[in-house]
Amino acid sequence: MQNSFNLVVERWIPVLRDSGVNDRVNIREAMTEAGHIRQIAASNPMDRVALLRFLLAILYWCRGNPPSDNVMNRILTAGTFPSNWFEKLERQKNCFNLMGDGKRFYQDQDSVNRRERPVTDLLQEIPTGNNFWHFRHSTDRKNGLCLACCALGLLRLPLFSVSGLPDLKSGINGTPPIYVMPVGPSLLHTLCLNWTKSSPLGTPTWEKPDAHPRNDQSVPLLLGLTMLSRRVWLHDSVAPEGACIGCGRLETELVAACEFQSAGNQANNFWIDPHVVYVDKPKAGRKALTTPDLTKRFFQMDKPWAPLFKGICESPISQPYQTAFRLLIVGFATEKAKNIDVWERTCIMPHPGLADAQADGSVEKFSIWQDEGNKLFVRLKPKDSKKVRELDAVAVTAIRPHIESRVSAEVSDLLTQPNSAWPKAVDKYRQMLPTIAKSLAPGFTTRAVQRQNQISIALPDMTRKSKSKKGGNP
Amino acid sequence: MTPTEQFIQALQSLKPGDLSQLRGHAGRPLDQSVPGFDLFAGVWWPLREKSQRAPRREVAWLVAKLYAFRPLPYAPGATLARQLGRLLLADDRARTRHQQRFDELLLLPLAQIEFALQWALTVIGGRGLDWVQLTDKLSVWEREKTRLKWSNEFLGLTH
Repeated sequence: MQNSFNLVVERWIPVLRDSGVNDRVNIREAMTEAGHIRQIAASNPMDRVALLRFLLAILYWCRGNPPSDNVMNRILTAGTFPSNWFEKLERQKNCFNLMGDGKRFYQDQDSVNRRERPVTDLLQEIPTGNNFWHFRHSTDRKNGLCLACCALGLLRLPLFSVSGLPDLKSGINGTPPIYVMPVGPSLLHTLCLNWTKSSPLGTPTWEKPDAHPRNDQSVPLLLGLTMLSRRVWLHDSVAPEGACIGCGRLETELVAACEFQSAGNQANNFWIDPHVVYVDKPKAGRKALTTPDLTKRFFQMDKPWAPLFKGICESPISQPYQTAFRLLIVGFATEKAKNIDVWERTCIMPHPGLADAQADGSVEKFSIWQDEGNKLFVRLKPKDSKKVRELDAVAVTAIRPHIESRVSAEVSDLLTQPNSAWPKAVDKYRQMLPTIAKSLAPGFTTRAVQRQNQISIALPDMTRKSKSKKGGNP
Repeated sequence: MTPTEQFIQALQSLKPGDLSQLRGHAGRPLDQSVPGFDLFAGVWWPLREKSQRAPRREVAWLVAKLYAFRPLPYAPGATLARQLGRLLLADDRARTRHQQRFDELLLLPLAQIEFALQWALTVIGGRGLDWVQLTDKLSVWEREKTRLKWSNEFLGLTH
């Protein structure tokens, strides 16, 4: 008989303890020992953010909205949630069975015998079918996933599902957006940082699988966080004992196949995700910020950090905190059904410098920087040329990602010390443009020297006024 | 006084007849005529014997012919590139053409540069020229840095 693998009891969540030890914990341990857990230790950034949101949902589900600031401060000082806070997990343990007969976690029994797929469809980085862009080889229905990896794959569904054939639709956020979560020095701090007042809370889908939001009302938080874009049913483990193709652990039980079909269109304009930055587009209205598709012909920044941080500064994500905080940012680039790239970075956001930055217009500098960066290849164009040359665009792609990466690492200074930090940002172009100049206009003739000089001074102008309207969350 | 300055001084001391003879050797190599060779050797060899820093034979022969072609007065600091860059020209087209010719000069190797330098000396007209700098720069003509400096001087980007 298949083991039910209950997620409250079985140890499946990879964590790094504050002692530096890598370990696996169950849901109950993750919550009660959160003060001694440094962070989620998944190798894929998608799992890190999916697990954090899941544990946050558990916290809301067990305790509702956060208590008073005094209680929160006591919790943080004690370094642990009160031991009796998560009794609901025990009472409703049956919501978290991954296998077995009856109700299963994040699965739909009605999907049985509808569309059988390799279980590796749950993890984007494992190839299936005739995928050719992959990091490791896998044989469908022969290589399997351990139950812990199956759980991780299921947790990704509300966040990272994309639309594709035959009728698969993306999740409640549509095209997977960039997720931004404040993080603290421990899992406890991280959960407390994200535990903000919200209404209505609603019911998560692990308790009420057939719950659906209405299309004319705001979506309750727990429903939105756990809305499943796929109807899944894990087959019993039939693969022989072996290594999990996901994590590599030797397991006695591996799942090789599952039912995997669409749950219909989940995108909902009334859903305001607490970990997504929204921007106002002139014609399209409110849109979640997403990672560009790098496979497009023209140059795109892989991490749109300038509009992202501008959006963060103007959004509720940054408002409730009394001290400086770190942000975990995870982006997933897709092109319809194709998974292109996933990335993660963390940065420090200052406070109360953030409020000052909004007041004195420093936040608008991000828009100016973005505009000026986009126009760089236009500034490099020779004076007697009517069109932008491909060569100039190539030169920009050679240096801009590097410079943007270096500048974006200083976002805290850019917000709190704009008068000195932005000139330093411009200096990064000043250092690289002479090299680009010699490459685009090699030689020593006077024409070459004039062109080199033109390129060397094609710097971003951070003194100009922003042309963009103030956007942000509605 | 540097060996180059001594060489220029020696050229300035040549009689009109000697200069005329050198003019007749424009575009010709040193070993093509005995009188030309003897004349040049009389000017250059004593300096070379005294110091290895005297201009090398190829450059000295070139400068001797150029001086004979246009014996412009010696003006320290008035480099050829700067003098060319300061020329006032009638219109954009003339300026562009002038700049193009200068760039063509920069691209020539030393063995083929004589007539282009003759054009430059003609264009400068009666203004003075720093013959010492010209000789020293032609001695290191193959270095890109030298020609880059000429470009910057032409454009007025150096003091």
